[in-house]
Amino acid sequence: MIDDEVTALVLALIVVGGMFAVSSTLLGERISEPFSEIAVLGPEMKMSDYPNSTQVNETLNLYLYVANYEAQTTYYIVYVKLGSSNTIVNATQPANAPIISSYEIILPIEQNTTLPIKLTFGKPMTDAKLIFEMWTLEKEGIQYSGKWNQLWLNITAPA
Amino acid sequence: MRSRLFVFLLIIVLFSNTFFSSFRTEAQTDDSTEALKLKDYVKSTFFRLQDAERMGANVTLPAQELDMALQLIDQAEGNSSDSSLLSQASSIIENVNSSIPSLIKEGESRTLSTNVSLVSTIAFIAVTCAFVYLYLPRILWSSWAKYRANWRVRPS
Repeated sequence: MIDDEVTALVLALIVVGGMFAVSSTLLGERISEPFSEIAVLGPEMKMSDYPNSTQVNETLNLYLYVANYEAQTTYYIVYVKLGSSNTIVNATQPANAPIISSYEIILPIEQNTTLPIKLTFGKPMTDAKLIFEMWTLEKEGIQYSGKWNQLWLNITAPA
Repeated sequence: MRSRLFVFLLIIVLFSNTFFSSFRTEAQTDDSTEALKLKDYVKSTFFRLQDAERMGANVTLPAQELDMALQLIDQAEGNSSDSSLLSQASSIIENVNSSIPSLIKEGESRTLSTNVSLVSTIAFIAVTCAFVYLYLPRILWSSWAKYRANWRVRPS
């Protein structure tokens, strides 16, 4: 016959253990707030040493970081646009500027990738706004995610 | 006579150059069309993968493979539509596409086992709670009485 105090202790342990089991089963792998990340990294693959000037026809080396925490596998399209200081871009409105390059990436849940990107510019420009917009492919078509990065550049004529 | 021969040769060279350049342009156009077709194929396969994922399938590996195919297509586009890259991409997409039905089956069985474990855990907790509610006070007070069985009441 098991002692009553031991029985009470075992019951208490079962209750506490059961609560942990339920909470981990119900909440374990669920992403409560889905989001995506986009970042532009400098030539050294760091969030520093960003170039602020380049020459026409010179290759600008950067890195693009994209991460998926959307609770589903996602098809990202990143448009690189070249705007001026007057170009408006925000979370609801993509930039009305020419696309100079685009990158397509498929990312599973909770995965990220860093891609090398090479950009060249055909004409000189002062206070150019290099815009990186994140779009996603949906069944209805591509949709602007509202996330963007920008880099200010002076594009000079070759010496 | 010599000048006639020269003109004749010039015409031949020009004609052959035009012929081969048009042939090359046609081949490049074919490859870029192939790249576009493959991108459409990647997109339709991606939507199928998303559907499989909603049914509980683990699509991490096939999604990474599909991304690899996408990067190969991009490389091919930047490399005069390299046909070997495109054929590699095509076979990867084909593999991913053919694996989707088995992924869906696997996902359905995983969803079923998850649901069964969830329901059994909830049932276990409910039974435990009922047991604790019904028997814990009795066990507690009987052990309290047992612990104090040898106590004596002293008259004050």
